[in-house]
Amino acid sequence: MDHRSSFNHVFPLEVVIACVVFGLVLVVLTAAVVRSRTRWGRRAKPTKSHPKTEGLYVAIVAGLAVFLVVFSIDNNRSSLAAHPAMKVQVTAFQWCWRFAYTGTPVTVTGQCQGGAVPTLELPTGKTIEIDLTSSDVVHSMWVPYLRFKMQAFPDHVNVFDTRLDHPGSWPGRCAEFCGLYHSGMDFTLKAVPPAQFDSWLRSQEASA
Amino acid sequence: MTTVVPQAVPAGDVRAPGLVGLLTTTDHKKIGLLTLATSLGLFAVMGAMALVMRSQLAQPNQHLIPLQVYNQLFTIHGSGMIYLVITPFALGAGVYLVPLHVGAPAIAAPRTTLLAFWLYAFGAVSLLSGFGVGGGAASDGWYAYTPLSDSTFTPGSGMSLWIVGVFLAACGMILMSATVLWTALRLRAPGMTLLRMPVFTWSMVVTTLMGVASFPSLLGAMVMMAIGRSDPSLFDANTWNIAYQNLFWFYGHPVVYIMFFPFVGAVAESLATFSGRRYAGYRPTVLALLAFAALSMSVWGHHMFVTGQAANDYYSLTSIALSVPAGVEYFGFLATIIGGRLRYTTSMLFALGFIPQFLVGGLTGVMLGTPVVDYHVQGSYFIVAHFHYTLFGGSVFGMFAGVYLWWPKVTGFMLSERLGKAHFVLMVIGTNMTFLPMFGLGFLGLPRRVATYPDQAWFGTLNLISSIGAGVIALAMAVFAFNVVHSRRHRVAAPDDPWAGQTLEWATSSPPPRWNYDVIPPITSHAPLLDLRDADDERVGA
Ligand SMILES: [Cu+2]
Repeated sequence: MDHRSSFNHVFPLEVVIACVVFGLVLVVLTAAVVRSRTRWGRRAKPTKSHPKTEGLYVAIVAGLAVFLVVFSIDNNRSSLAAHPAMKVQVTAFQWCWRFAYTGTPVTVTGQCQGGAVPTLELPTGKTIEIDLTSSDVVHSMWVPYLRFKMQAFPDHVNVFDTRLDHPGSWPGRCAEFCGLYHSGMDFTLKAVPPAQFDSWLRSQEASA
Repeated sequence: MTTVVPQAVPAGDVRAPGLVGLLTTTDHKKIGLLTLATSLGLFAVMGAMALVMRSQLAQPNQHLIPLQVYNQLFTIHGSGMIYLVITPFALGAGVYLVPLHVGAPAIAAPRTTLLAFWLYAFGAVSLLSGFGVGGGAASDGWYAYTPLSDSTFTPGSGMSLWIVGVFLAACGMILMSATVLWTALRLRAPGMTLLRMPVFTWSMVVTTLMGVASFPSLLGAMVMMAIGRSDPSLFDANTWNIAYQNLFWFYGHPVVYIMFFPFVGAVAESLATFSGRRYAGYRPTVLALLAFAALSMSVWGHHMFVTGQAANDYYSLTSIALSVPAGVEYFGFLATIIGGRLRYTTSMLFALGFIPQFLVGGLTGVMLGTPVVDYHVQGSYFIVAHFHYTLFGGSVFGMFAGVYLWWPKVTGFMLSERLGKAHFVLMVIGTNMTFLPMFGLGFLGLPRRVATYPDQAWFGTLNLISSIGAGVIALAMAVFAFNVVHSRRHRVAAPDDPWAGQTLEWATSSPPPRWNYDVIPPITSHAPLLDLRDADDERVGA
């Protein structure tokens, strides 16, 4: 599931619609103010009801809303990959992260304090399933680059998958307030080419 | 048309004079004023907390205040603004104005209304007294998710005092909603049909309907949390944690509109009055308000898109559907001022400022109703920007449109328009400087509720602009406070009808007498005083 491209598909269009609507309202507002200036000294015209204009207006707004609903739901089709290349069990805890690579003894964790944040290392070009849970309170796993977050609950596993097409390294954060050191509960997401990832995993296995 | 409707005027007030008399009053105007004054006082306290937070956040990696203090500040700022400032102000305005608007001599169940005020006042004391106990005040945010808020993860009595405070204040709000609703439905003067009630009073009807329907769910959530604090093992089970979120947001979304509709009503009254014509699209607006209130009860799940345990597409549908009644309300605003003869009083300026600023909140709200966008911006500063545009750029601007409009009626003296306009200009600058950069911060990856943040690109600059903006808002509020003091000292007595008003309250004295009206003018539409002036003009002109 490429959340970043879904986001990039929807968000810019919604921004454009929002700007157009905002601009229209601003134009009408300005027109009312300007017209009122030229009418100075004269009485206000009594308000009349314009049922046809109102009906047309409601129809336009409703049409826009229907489009947005369909567009929104259509882009939210989340399909979990039936056969992910690998799985990582992510456990959030007060106040850091634990990444366990399913099927291997490899576990990466840290204390998150003093800049020592753990790194979630993943191979590029592969679909990876994340099984997200918490061992204490509600946290939320957010990688701004992926344009995606998911809450981590105790006694519950939330599953989503992701795919990184390019190597790189991005900050990840806890996005649900979780107590005293919430503001330092960070991690790094790192994507490397599959060969490099395999050798990293083997070296971790050897030391585990 | 000079019929006067005789009122059965009860005997004079037999209460004790002075402070005791005020605090035990059954006069809805005094209960309303007590509520409004208490919430404005608490507004200043919550604003001061915001200033401390904005100082801490002005630059990356700062540690001006300890983490636990920061966490208490954002919790009490948010809880205070929602439970103790904007909601009570909205309902307090209804307690004061609705009986006047419908031509009633008193509010329904005045003692119950007084009890509601006291429940609210004691709730406020309980919530704030957390700062005086060991371990400090509550520190889990205004929605206090479990299990973080149970006694394992948040020990100490601050959190318990918070639960008691929220519970008491919520009980007060339910009772206040009920008496205001009952007044509008059952105590209307002869001739005041439902479809002749002013827009503000209609906004209070839908507000109080939502209050009565949604606040009990908050009481349920508080009870659940209280049980969890005596036996934290309750929240070992996912079921109860998700149940808490559902119960909380079933209240938590309608309350957004409870904190918003009365100010839409105030803006509508201000726009109509200062455009010199009756409010346009009255019936569609009433219908839109009712539809909005009904829909508002089915959108709570959009706060839970990222739980992975909500029906996201359904809540996306209901949330985006809200844009239809919202669009109708905007039609009413704009149709009223186009072709009107606008008078730029301070009240009118705040009402006009409300229109584009609230729109920013509304349009970004559509984005939040779209799950794939929400997955990114939920829990970030984007949300903080969004709801401050609705509640500060919107509700607080509407609040001041109302304050400047009704101040002469309520106090009997005029506020300085010159200082009022300075207040307005500073508010517009401060609001947009503070909250516009936050959209960028959230988009770039800054989570909300962090006491400090790393030195990432743009974080420092945008936060600094935001913090300076907060200072400008503080200055604006100081100008308002000075205006009150100054205008009180150099008292200019208010006439009965300083603005050429359209609704009944402008026909009585400023401030109104104990039983509101000696005579009630004929009620012929939702703008009875405008009808009288039109009739007079016709007699003179034709
Ligand atoms: Cu966390």
